[in-house]
Amino acid sequence: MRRLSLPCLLLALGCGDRVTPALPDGDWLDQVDPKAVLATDLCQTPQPGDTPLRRLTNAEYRNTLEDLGLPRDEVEEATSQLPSETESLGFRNGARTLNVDSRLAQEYARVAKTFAPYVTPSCEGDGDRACAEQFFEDIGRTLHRRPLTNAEVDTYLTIFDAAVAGGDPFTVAIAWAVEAMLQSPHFLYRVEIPEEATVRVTGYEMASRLSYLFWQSPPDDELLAAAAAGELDTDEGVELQVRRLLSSGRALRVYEFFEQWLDLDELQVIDRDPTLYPDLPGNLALLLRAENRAFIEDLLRHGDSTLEDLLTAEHTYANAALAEHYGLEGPEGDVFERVEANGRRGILTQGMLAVQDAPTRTSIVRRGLKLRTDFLCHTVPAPPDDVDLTLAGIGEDLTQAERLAQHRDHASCVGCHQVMDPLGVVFESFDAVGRFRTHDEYGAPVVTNGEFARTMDLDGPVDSVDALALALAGSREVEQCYLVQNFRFFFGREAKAADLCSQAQLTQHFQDSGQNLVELFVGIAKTDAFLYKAAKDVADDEGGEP
Amino acid sequence: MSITKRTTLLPRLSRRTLLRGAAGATVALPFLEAMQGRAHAQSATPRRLIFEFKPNGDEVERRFDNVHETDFVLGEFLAPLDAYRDDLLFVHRINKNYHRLDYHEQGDRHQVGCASLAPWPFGEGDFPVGGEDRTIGYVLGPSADYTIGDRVVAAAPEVPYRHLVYRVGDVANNIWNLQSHAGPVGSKNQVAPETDPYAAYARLFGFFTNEASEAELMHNLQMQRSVLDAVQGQLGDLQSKLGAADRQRLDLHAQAIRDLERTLSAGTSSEQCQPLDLGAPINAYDPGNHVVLAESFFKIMALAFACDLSRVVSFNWHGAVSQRVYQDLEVNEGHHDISHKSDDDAFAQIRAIHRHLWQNTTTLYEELLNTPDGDGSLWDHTAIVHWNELGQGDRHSLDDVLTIIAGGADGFFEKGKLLDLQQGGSFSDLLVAAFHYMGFDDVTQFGDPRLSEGAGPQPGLIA
Repeated sequence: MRRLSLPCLLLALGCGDRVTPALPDGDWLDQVDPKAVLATDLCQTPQPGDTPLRRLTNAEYRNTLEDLGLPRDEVEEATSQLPSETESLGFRNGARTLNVDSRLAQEYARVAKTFAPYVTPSCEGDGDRACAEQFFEDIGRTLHRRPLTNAEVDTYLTIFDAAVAGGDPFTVAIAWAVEAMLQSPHFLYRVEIPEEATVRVTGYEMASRLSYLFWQSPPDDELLAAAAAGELDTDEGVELQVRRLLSSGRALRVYEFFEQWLDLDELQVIDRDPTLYPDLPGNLALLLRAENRAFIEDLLRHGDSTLEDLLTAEHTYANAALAEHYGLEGPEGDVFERVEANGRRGILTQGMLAVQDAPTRTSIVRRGLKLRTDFLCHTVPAPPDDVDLTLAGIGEDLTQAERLAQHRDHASCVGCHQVMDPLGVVFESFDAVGRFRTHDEYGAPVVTNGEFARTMDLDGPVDSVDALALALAGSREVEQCYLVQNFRFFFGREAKAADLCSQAQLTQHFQDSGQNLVELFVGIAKTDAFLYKAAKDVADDEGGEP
Repeated sequence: MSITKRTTLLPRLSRRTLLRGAAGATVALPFLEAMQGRAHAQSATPRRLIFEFKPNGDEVERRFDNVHETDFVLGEFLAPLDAYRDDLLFVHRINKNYHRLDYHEQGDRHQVGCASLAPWPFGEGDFPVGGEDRTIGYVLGPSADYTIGDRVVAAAPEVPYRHLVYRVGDVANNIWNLQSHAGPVGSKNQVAPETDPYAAYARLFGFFTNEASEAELMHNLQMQRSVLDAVQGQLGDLQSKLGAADRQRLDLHAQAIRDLERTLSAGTSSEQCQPLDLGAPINAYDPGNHVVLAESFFKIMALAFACDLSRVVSFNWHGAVSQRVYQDLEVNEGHHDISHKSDDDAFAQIRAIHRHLWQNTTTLYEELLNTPDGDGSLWDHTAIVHWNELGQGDRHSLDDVLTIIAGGADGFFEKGKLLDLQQGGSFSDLLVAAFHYMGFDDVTQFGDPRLSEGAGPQPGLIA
């Protein structure tokens, strides 16, 4: 395949002297003008990039079981011991990290045994082999997300027959076969069969791509019917289903992306020194997670929400306990309600901050790092081996911010810390448990004067969370990073050079929609990476992915 | 290293206490022995192996107040081990030799130091490297706990689990806190540790009272095999249609299904294999629970050995670069941050943390000492390899790491001694000695050859 020498939209940021990301000559924003990219020869033929086999994530697996009609609480219980997925690109759904090892296979087997008896045929009363065969075809279509082949039906019938021959009653014999189905690779993976050339995915493959994108769960009957009718072979047919899927409550399951992006899935416990933070709500971690979920879900429910709303909204969601913690008026019960929250700004001042903080204080550095890596998509090196990571000995009577400023006088620190600390400082008006404050841990008035440095279009002073939020919302670089984060999550892999056309398509759609949050998902479904699959054994370049 | 052809299963089940097979099936077979007309021949008490990990390095000069082969004096933070010193071998200042790998084959010192159970070069990935403008991925090969466990189950198919992997704390899994890897050589496959002892217990020990008839049990076992055979068949068909990279990923899945088949009738007849009361569940991610979590894991490890469910364990006191704040020791900054510092106060805190960890590690010793096993206790038949990602934190040194081999270990290792390697030797060759201890003395090297001295097990360890 021909490769463009255009830079990947994702930029690495070196520290030290190599301060500037690898930039093409000329104006960066011109270089990534999506129209220009889409006009190149490369983008005149489908460029799907790489399409590794994807195992269901733990969340997708749970949703899939739930959508079979199994009770939610029992699914939660039975799947609570699934091994946590390995991190990759800041998410837990990297396609190549999701394999099935012995422990996971054991869990899948256990869950299959738990739920197989729940899945029974409606022709049960007949209790004959014809009923079993019909049932395997029906339930197989649901569990494999496509019609079974004759050989597959035979496989399950063979199990059924052996069970009956061994004296098992009809329903038990059925359950043995269902147990196999629930461990089938066609259930546990989103199987797509590559061909010798790049081709559009089949109707059934498309049905799964669509449902696992918008619903994080399997296709429903209508989607499978559309696949069977060939309706998903056209862009119009796909678009029709996209709109239908988005109108369902299941579409809120894309919240999984936000939770992982903002690291809220790591917020299990708020571990704070009780002498410094007395009387915290015992379940503060859960409250902060619920706040973010309610806020995001509300944005997604309103079709006109934009990236700007995500970053700058002057409201949040709280129940009585969280409102009291924040010092906000309004909510009285356990239900999370919309509250006006002057001084708070969208996701930036929610639980995302507390994830980064320490037991005794805010972490200016880690808050800044979070912004730098996950909102600007820059790579910041881990600290070198030979530096002091604490601020002890630097002006004990100074604030954390002042001590950090002094520590940046050290040549070895300034390179990286000048891109993190001055962003983290801006959040100093929020303490380590997310409350607005005017004085820091040391009793000094908070100072929030920070600075953007080494960015494409944000460089300059920034003195408040308000200003920071508005600046981020107006930045092309932030927009590009947001798209990259979405690409990584929804495709389960890094956006690479071969994805340039898909990224340009996504960018174009997102910009044309006025940075509409829901339209972004529609845009994903319009990319080459989504509509096509790579040829079998194309150069399998794993670069950039663990 | 591959699984050898399965030999006849010899389940060892008490008629009172039954354990579910690893597949969750209630098909354990107390009758198989009798049906096959042979009594179970009790072989020699098996050897067990534990790798125990601590993060962030210690203080090299303060490990010992006197460095001498036999008349050594344990320093402040190793003092909790003094009562056990006759069964301990202190390997002082051993070298991990990562400087011999090419620059682009390795991450920073934390990343390589914490991966040294899997002494292989690193692949590409997105984790930032300390102080450098590049990123790195996971190691390209298996860890010793995995590979030794693989040899164990090949040689003793009645043992269900290759290895058990436990960690105290951390909900996320990343390059710093994953110390176990499944390989194969050349590929990245991380083994996610179990972090919740209550769940780990439930997974291993499905104690139940057997009420099914012999015929029912045989039928269920046969059906369970049919189910797994069907899955295996589908995996094979699918592999033939996929590209090379995905085919290889499904190899791991196919192996996992073979594991399930192998372990359908696992069990034990040991008197010591009895249900355990761990008390009420606690939050596995609340840093305040870390000692209780570790104690629970230690109990599970001893019971798993007693039931012969596994013979190899990797236990991790948090991951590398641990930022746990030891407020109970009046330490208010994260462990890793403190470890970067060189002043007296910082080292005093590091010593306090290590003393605390060593003190609480002796709980494991007591569990093993108090569990009868064969002609003695588990302690007599177990080797614990204590290891750390680094030598000393402020230097991030990898050439003066402390490794301690503890336990009776059937008298295999030297004990009651201090072996000062003076920044020589090879940690990967120390792992080779662990292979030999477990009976696999055909192994002469483990990991990348450049990390080895090339002369087999690290000299000075084996008695």
